[in-house]
Amino acid sequence: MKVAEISCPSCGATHDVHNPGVITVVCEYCGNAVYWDQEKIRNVGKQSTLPEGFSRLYRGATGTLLNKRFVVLGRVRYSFGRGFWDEWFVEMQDGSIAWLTEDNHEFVLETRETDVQVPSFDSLKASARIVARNIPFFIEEVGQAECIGVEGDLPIPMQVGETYSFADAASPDGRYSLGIEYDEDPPTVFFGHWLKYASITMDDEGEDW
Amino acid sequence: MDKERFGLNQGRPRPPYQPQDIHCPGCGAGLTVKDEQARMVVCEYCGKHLDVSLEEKTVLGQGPERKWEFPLKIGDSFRYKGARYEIIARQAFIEDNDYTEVTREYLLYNPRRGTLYLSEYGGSYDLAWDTHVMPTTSPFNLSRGSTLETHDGRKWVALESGEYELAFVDGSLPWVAKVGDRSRYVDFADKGGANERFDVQWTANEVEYSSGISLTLEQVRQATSKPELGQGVVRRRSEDVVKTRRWYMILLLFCVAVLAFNGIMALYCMFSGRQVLEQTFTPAQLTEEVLSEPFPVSSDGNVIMVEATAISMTNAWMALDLALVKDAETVVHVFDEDIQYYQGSEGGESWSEGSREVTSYIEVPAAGNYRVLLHAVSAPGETPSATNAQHGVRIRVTDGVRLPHFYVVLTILTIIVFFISLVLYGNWRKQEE
Repeated sequence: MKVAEISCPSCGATHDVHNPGVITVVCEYCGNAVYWDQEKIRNVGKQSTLPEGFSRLYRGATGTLLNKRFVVLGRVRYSFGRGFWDEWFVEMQDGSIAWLTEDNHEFVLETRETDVQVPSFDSLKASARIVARNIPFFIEEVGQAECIGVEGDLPIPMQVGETYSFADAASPDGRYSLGIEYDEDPPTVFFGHWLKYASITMDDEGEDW
Repeated sequence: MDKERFGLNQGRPRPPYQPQDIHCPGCGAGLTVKDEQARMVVCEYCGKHLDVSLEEKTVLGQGPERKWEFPLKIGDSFRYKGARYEIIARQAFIEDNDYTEVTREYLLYNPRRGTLYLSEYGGSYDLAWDTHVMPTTSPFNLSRGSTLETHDGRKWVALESGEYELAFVDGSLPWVAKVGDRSRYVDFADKGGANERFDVQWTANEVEYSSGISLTLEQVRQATSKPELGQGVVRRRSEDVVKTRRWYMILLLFCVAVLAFNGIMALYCMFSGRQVLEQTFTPAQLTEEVLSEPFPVSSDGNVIMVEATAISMTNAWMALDLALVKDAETVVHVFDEDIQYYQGSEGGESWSEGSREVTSYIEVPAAGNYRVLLHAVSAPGETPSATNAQHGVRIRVTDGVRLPHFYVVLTILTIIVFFISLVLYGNWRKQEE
C-alpha cells in the first residue's frame, strides 16, 4: 500500500512512497531530491551519488534486525573531515522507523533521547563525562559533520552540504553510544547500542566478493 | 500482511562490489583501491604516498628507500569465521631504532565486515580488531605483569609496553600514516590464560583499544591457504608472561602461607605445656647452693622449659649454674646461663642491652619427680669477677613443651625466600622481553 506517489521534477520518473514517515525522496534514476511538508513539495536539486557495495546494507536491502524484519529505505552520508560515516534509514515490519549508524562497518541502532542534559558544544572536550539513562558516557570525538550524500527515502528534509557540530560518546563497557547533534537548540541526542554482527541477518549477505 | 502494508516487499538485489580505480598523480599508473574508506594509498609502481580522501588525488611524499620483506603480499586472502578478508595494507614497525625488532602488521579488509589487524612478531601472530570497551583504570605506564580490568569485567596481565615507530607502509589505509610516526602501546593477555588479547595504543591526541586473539602458525597457514608460510624461519621463543606471573604469585602466596603456618605453630609451641614450678630464690640462697621444690615430669622423653629471670638486675651480670636433679639425688643434666642486662641514656635517648631472662629446653629421659639445683654469682657490670650473688632469681619450669626452633628457623628461611622472590619479581616486571 502506498501513501504517496512522487513524480521527479527533474526526470519525470515516478516514485511510490509506502511509509507515512517519509518526507524526502531522492530519485534513484537522476539523483534529484524532493521533500514535502504540509503545504507543498519542494525541489532540492541533484544530490551526489553514493557508491554501493561497500557495506552489508544497501538501499532496498531486506533482512532481520534483532529478530524483526526490516527494509533499508534510504541513507545519509556525513563527512567528519578525516573520513565519513553512514546513517541508514530503515523501516521495520510494523511500519516503525529506525536509524542504523554505520562507522567502519560497525552498526549502532539509535533511538532519539529527549531526557538528557548535554553541555554546550564549546565546552565539550574529549573524555568529558555525560550521563544518560543512568549510564556514564565519555566523549570520544568532537567535530563538524557535513552531509556529502543522500539516497532513497528519508524521514527528514536533508540535502548535500548541510553541516552541524557533533559529539560522539561511548559507554566504557562498549555496549552503548550517545550521539549529540548540535543542529538545533536544544541539541538532538541519540541513544544507541552497538550491534553484534549476528544481530543483523541479511537476506543476501553477499559474502562472495 | 506486514509485507504488503509497508515497503518490505520493495527489496532489490545486492549491488555488486566494485573497487575504485584511480591514477597515481605521481607516475600516472592505474591503481585499484579496495576500501571505500581509504584515505591514503601507496603507489605500487613509484612508491609515492598519495592522499586519496578528496576527488583530486595528491602526493603526500615519497616512501622510504629501504625494502622490507613480508611473508604475505597485498591481495592475499585470509579466512576468518567463514569470511574472506584480503590484505589491503602492510606496515612495519620498529622499536628503539632497532631494525631487527620488527613487528609486521597486515590490514585485512572485507567490504561487508570491515577491517582486522594481523600482526607478526618473531614468527608469532595476533589477530585484532577495534573495541569500544575501556579499561577501568589508566592503562598507561604499566609494566610487565601489571594487571588491568576492563569495563566488561575481564581481567588482563600486561605483556609488554613500549613505543612503535612506523618504518614502512604500502597498500591503502583508512588513515594517513607517515613513516616515522610514533605511538606508545601496552599489550595485555587474558589473566585466566585464555588465548585472548587486549591492546592499548596512544599518541598525543588519540587513544585506541583493540581486542584480539593470538594465532598459531598453523592457523595462519590455514587462514591464508599458504602451507609453506614460516618454513625455514626460526621462531623467537617468547616468554609466557601470564604463566611466569602466575608462578611468582604462587611462590609469594606459598611463602605467606608458610609464614602464617609457622607463626601459628611457633605460638602454639610457646604456649604449650603445663607450668609445674614457679619459685623465687634470694641472693643468699644462690650464693650457697639451693634445690628447688620438686616438680613432676609426666612422661618419658618430655621436653621441659626452664625460664630464669634475674630480679631487679640492672647494669650487672650473673653467672647461673643449674642442674636437673632426679628424686633429689641423681643429677641428670647440668647447664649454665649468663645473664646480662645494661641500660642507660645517651644524647637524650635511652638504650638497653641484654636481657634479664633466659630460657633453656631440656629433654628429660624418664618421667618422675625432679628439682633444679641452682648456684649463682653476680656483680655490677664493671666488676670482672664475683664470689657471691647480689640478685635474686625466679625460676619457672613448664613440662611437656614443644620446641619452637624448627618453626623459627623455617620462618627465617621463608622470609628470606619471600624477599628474594619479591626482588626477582620486581626486576622481572621492570624488564622488557
